[in-house]
Amino acid sequence: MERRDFLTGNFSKRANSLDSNNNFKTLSLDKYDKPLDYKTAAHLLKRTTLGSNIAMLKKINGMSVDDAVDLILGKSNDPLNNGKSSLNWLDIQEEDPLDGLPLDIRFEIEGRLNSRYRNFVDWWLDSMRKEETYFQEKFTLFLSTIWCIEFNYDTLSLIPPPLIYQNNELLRKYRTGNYKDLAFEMTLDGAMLLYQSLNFSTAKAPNENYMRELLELFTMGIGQYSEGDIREGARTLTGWRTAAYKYQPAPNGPFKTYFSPNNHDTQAKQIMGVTIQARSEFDNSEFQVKEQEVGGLINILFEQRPKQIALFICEKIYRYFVYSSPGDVPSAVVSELAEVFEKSNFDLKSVYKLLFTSQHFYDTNVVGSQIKTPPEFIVGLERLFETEYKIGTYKKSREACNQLEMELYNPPNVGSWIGYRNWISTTTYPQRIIYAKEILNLVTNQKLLEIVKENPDYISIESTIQWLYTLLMPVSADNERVLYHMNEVETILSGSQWQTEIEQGAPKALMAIKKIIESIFLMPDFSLC
Amino acid sequence: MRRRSFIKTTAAGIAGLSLAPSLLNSSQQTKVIPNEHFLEESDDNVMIIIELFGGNDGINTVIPYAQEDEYRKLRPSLYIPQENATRYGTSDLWINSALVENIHNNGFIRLLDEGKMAIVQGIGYDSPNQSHFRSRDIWHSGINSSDPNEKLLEGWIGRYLASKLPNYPDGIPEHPFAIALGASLPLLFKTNLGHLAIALNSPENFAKSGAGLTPSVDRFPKPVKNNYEKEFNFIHVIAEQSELYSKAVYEAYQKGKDKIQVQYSDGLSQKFKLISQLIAGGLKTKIYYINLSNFDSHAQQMQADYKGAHATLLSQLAASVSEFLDDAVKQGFHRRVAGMTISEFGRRAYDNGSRGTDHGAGSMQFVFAGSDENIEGGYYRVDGKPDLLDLDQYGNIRHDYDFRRIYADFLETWLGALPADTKSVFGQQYLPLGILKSRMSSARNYTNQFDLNVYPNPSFGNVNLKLFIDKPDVYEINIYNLEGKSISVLHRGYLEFGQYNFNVQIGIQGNYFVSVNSSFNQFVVPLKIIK
Repeated sequence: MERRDFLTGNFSKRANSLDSNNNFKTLSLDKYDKPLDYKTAAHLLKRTTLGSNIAMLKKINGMSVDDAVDLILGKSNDPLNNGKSSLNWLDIQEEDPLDGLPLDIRFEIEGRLNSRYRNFVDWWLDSMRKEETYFQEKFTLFLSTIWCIEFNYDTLSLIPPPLIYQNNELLRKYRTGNYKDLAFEMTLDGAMLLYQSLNFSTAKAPNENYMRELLELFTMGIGQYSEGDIREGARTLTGWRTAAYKYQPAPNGPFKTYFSPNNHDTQAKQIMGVTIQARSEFDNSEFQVKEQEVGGLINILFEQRPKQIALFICEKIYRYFVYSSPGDVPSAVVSELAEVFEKSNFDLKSVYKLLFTSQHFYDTNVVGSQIKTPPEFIVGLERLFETEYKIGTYKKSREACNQLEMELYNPPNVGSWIGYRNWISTTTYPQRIIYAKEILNLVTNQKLLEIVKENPDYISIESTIQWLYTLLMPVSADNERVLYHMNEVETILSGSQWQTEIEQGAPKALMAIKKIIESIFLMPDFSLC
Repeated sequence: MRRRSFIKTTAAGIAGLSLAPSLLNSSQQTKVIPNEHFLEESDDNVMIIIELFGGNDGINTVIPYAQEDEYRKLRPSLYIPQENATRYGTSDLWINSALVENIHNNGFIRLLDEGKMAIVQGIGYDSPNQSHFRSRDIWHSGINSSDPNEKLLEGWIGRYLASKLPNYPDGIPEHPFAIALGASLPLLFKTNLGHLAIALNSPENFAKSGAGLTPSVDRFPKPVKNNYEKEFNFIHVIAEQSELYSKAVYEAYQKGKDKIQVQYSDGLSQKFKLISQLIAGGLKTKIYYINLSNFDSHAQQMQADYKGAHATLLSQLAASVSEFLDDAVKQGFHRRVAGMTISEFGRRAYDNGSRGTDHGAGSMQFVFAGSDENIEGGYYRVDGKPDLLDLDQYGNIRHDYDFRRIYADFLETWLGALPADTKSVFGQQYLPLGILKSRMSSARNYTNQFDLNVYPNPSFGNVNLKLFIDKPDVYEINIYNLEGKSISVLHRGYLEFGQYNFNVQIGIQGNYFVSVNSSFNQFVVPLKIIK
């Protein structure tokens, strides 16, 4: 049954919308019922992973969207990618570098923390580059753009990298899981306790930092709570500490969160009209407070504001996976996703499944509208060319993402990266082209020929150009563009020479392929997906 | 009288220009037009905006010792004793010593001495929002929307520049109107026409990486058919401008490189050094933006020795502004530069026990200029403010002036806008705070006084105005409150030669302003209502 297969025009009319063209053919979340072809398969892969490659394209070409999306999302008991074998510092504690240590010792510790942090980011980018079905990384990355952690926070402080790894593990565990359970666990996450100051919060002086962001950024958005809710919530969350440093208490072990009863406010609290009961000192134990107050608080939020949370998170999902423009979110689609999210008791997978198999997701107004994020741009090329971005032994993907303004686990602030058009500026756009060319130069001739010859009709140069567009671009090349690229290689070889040169894998053919790819890099839509 | 800047930017105006071939971009679509055609030729003023992101702690920046007992009580872990603060002369203005000690030329104290700095106390807006992001959007957009779901997607500077660029991106200035030092742009410059500033880190890298980026395909014609075309066009413009502006910026940078006259510190100062080089090298950019982050000090903002995170940031600010203004004097472009700090809110009056402070509301702001001829330096505040005994319901400082009063000052006094422009930028009229002094005679003449009589003044609420018009023109007569908002419009429209009488009833006691605007003149008379 078609619920809405025409433009209903039911968009929220927002002030200052950047552009009012909402040219969707369909807002329907009914199933896209055609089998996937290369174009739609590439679209699905680019939006749900860090980039498509030929092997994956071939694998899901011809599949139904249901099967392809199931393959991408995986099952809840699939084992998680883990870094324990490559990161050999995951249980090493250091002293708190800001705890009055002599400067030289402080700098030494900070040096180690910095290098471990870089080590972690390299590992994560490696994971993004290498992963195959089922896909974990983009969904984990999405959650880490909501529940932000800044490695370097409050001007001078650094989060110990083992806590960052744990935080990543937690996001990974919930990447397609239950959002409410994630909110509960994240509230007591060690990196979060440090970053959002709960680690300092006491009964006498409850710190509001985390509670405000929990409501404003991580669950429901501004306008859905009062300043009083923040104060009372902050009191509820007093008393939690993380064992981040050497020579400090660690009752539950290093890097584990523990409860400090003397710092917990045991008086009653009232949040969104619901009371959390006062407790006696005999009931002020880690287990009880965790279940009744932290768990109680999360329950209150999700029970008192279920619709608001569902809408808020589904809008984030829509902007991350469909179209990022803040002024162009179709409220009809988001409402429908939110309904499913709420009914499933905040199960992310139900929303993803519905969205990625919907007609709306494959609308011409959606395909090619998304600006690639820095990892999508860099890792996407690495994945497509099956090449690691390395200069000598130096792994360059991390530096490249940083220069393109996305330092993983070090966003500009707790509000995360702004995203969308912020990724493209007169500084980052030229830099993107430089990186793309450098990555292309690392691809072996053998690999380039392989890629081109995957196209059955590779002896035609026009067909080769179209094939490269299928792999690299969000749209096919029109005649004008095909002619333009053919002209570009004219100085290297003529159209009639192409067939013999490519069949022999001759240097001229390779030069021509590189030339075409480089001129594709200079097309504005190379940054779109 | 003239409104040249508007006439010049009409479509016909641009089409009628004959362009030197060297100014034409390789693309047929985009015409590059000398900056003078968009703005006043005589106008080479430069404005610098420094954002202190995270919410600067105004109370520990300008310290309220007038209520020392209260201050100490509110801030047991963040109290700075007088001997560790710096007093300006014998006045009651005390500032954090990080703004002075070990800073080039004695930092902000010297700038205050030379009359180049104004400190404005009590800046904020109604129903303050305590979200960094919402509040920052309010400061950047210049719109204080009461509906938190209304998305603020355009910046106030962007809206002003857009009014000068009706054909953007098909007709663009030869030099960028605005530059954000960094890799991305803040909301300030975003508009529905596109991003009306460029992001710049290093002119040298920019020159190398920008070359050859002009796309060999055209933009899609408007109106675009879908979101793909819309984003294609957006990136197309950035690509094209990357090439064009990297050349312009590099040229200026090369010319200005050797003109630097002071030793700039590391960190934030290096960004000011770059601005100095670009100005010295002849870049016609009007607005520069710099971000200094990490003011969100919920914990550990000050250590036991009164140093720490907050002091470190204040020192960076003071060093960079002091070095830059000194360099400007030595190079001789000081009369062209003025700037201000912005920050999304102040911090809670009481500390939070973690050696930090939570989000607040009203705060203070720095305004500076390279020459005392262009600014009325000093300490701006309402008597007895900030009042630590009169906090709002959440324990925050109350504001006295709306933040847009300073924006209006920059727009009308520094950038040559008319009150009508201010109104179209903010959607409502704001009275300029009157800190800056115009150096342009072309735009409007503040020195001519109207024949205006306001009586009685002070008044118990029944106020009469007698106005004699000797130049028929379109006039607007407004009563503004202290915050800067118009509370009553007495007249708007054409007035013939002759004498006019107006009467207005004001019910609430306080300080007000009567303002008379014509297209060439503005005159403001303070008015006091007592009850």
